[in-house]
Amino acid sequence: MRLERLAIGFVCLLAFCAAPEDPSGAKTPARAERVVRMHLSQDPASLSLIGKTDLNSEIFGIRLTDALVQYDEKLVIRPLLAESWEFSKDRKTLTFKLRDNVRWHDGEAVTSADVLFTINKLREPETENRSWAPDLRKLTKLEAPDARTVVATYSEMKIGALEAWRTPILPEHIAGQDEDLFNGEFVRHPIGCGPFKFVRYIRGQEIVMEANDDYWGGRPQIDRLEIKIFSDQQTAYQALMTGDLHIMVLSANLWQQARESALAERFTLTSYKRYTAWTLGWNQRNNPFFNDARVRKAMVLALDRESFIENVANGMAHIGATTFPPSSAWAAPDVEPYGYDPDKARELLAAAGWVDSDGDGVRERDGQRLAFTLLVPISPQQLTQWMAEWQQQSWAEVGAEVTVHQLEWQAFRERRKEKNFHVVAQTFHFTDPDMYVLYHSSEMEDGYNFWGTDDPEIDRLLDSVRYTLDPEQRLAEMHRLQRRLHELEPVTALFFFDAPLIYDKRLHGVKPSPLGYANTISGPRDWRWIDEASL
Amino acid sequence: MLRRVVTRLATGVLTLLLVTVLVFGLIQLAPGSPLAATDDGFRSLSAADRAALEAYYGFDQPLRVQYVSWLGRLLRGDLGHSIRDRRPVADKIIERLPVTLSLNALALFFIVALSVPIGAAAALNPGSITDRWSGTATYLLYAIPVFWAALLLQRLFAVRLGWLPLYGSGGVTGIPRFANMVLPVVCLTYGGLAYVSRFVRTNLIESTRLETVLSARARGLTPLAILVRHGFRLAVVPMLTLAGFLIPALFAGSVIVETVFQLPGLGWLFIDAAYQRDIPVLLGVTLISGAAALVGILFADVTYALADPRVRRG
Repeated sequence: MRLERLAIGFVCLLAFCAAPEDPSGAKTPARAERVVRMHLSQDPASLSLIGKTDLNSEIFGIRLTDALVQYDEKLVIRPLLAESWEFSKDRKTLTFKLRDNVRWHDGEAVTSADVLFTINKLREPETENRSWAPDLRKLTKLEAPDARTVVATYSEMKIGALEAWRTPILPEHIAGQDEDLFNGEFVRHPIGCGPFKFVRYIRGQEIVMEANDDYWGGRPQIDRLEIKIFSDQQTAYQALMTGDLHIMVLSANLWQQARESALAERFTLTSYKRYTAWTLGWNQRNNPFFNDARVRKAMVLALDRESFIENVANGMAHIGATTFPPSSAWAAPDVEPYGYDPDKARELLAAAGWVDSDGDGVRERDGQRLAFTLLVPISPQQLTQWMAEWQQQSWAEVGAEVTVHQLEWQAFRERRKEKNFHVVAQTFHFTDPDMYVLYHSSEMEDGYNFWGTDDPEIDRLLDSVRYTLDPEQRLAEMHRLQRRLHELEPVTALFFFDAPLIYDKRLHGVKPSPLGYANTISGPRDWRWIDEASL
Repeated sequence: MLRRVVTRLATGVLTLLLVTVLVFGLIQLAPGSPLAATDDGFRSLSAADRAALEAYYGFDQPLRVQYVSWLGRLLRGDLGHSIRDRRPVADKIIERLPVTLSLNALALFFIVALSVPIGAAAALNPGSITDRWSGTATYLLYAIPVFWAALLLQRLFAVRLGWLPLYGSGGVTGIPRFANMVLPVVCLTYGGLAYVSRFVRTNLIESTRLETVLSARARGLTPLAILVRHGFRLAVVPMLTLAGFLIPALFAGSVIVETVFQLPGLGWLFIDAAYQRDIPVLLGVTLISGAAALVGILFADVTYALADPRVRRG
């Protein structure tokens, strides 16, 4: 492995030495252009980088321009445009020192004024920024004492305050001229200071970018990055086979298909662990079934998750004990997931008063049958469907009658908002261990605490995870929180599925993170394209 | 004749307006809001932002005010702005029009060009092997789901053989490339063959039963000659009407074809807008496709009148 890396490094060095007359390493006619085509499942809502942000615009934004800070593949915050930062003693102000000599793609210097412009623009409600604005809205003051310093003052600052500074920075001298961020000059031809420059965008098809020769962090190794937009997974997979695409995340069934395909030798097939929890949320308010923790646990004990992973998910998943990802550094080692124990489940249900007295296979209590609904969003992935059927069957075996309500995404969300469900199935992606919005009693109305968890102990621990400075102490509080969550089981983290990743063998340096293979600093910027045939 | 066209136009415009009212109302009935559509995981708007945006988009107004103000802008030639990306709806429609137009025009052409000979061959000898087999074959085609056929065709021609592009319109300018249109046009065409060829057959058979045709046969004309001289002439009227009605059906089909082949056309735009609850885009596309359908029907109507003097006078 190390030898291979050394060899690659040597080859790169050779390539560099071979073209001394062209120190920038720009296109030398001697070799073919190194083009990498990566997959995007949908058009970004906008190329404005900060307006109407979604996951897809973030993926584009990281390539085009730099943020002050950014995650690396281990999800550690690293300096990017900011070379350093400092928290004040009272945890009210955060001071960034910007890197010197960073230039926009048009040659202008990047200054603190650009940062101020971006953050102020992003905080306007009309910008509809969903990614970072909610956190940055807590700023009370934003100043730039000089061209390389930005001082942010907060009314209250949580531990993860830096995360919001992953927002891409826009050039004020261009974006600032546009009256309308969504229809101005900037979105037509966005300019940043990142490793790749914008070339063209054809809606529904591709975003083409080329290496920025003057990138402060060094020119990327590939010459061109083509972000190919395929909303249909099957089409994307076909494109992979024809070479129109080089890297994508597959579904479990396509992954199986790819492994058995004759073309498999052209590709690297791997997988990475994600912090994505597939959960079941138990509605604990006005609900005869699930305000009793014993019933919630019984339902979990009735599920044979091991065999589901083996038989349905090709072994590519992990069981969660709580919503804290088991592969993360936050997971408490002493909190074990509930295993498969249908007898124990029956026992717990009986202890909670649910008995099948009329012998129809469904338990009842005070004339109420143990019959509830499972709310599931419709997904292009068949997995969702299989999972719902499996749950329905497993629960029937312990005496519960389950009706599955599978709804279109928006309808699903409406139902969830109205808290009109007994059990809700959904996924959550985590970037940090702050799970305040999921469980805090103050988030029952407008937050993500749809299930109505209302426990003073959980509230206290959530606060402490959010505001404890000392890392060790914070981790201890996190572990305490997990033990309490495991005890009450307000939400069950059924599975954390691995993401099956496939990419062309000629592509090297892919370092996936729990967020994806292109959502952190180390993405296309560090990729290398080594075509054996041309060596 | 002119009066006929004018009244037809007027009722057409009225129908179109009713359709937009219907679409507007239906979207309101659908759960979810366009503002929540882009929420994703924990990326969402705060309650305060949501309120500010609702005011910005005018969602806080009563429905009828919202509709009337949309109509008011429409009369000034403004289709409004998309909620998904805030771009003018007219721009979004215009950039996607070439794909849908060429897809549908080509499909319409091939349906008619293939169905007429198939139908005529069948009508020549009703009950013959040609008749029965053409019927069975076209109905079998009709029964094949488009998304499945599309996948198989992609596998064969794009992946295995590499003859045709897999997806996309291939054009950088928005004008689709011919090779990119082959598979989508095939997918949009084959399903229409059964209906149209059977229609042609029935009409030809019916018209050849008329007395004029009987007398022609008595004069010793061959069946083919009768078909060409009399049959087509008589069958052309109902066929024109059918062509007019095919336009809306094709548009509906192109929604699926465009999505599978990643063709940036109106159908795809419509689907996306529906998922996003992007009301201005939905209304805009409805208006345009509705207008196209009306023009088709009007065209059928007028040509019908031109071809049949009895209709013209009436």
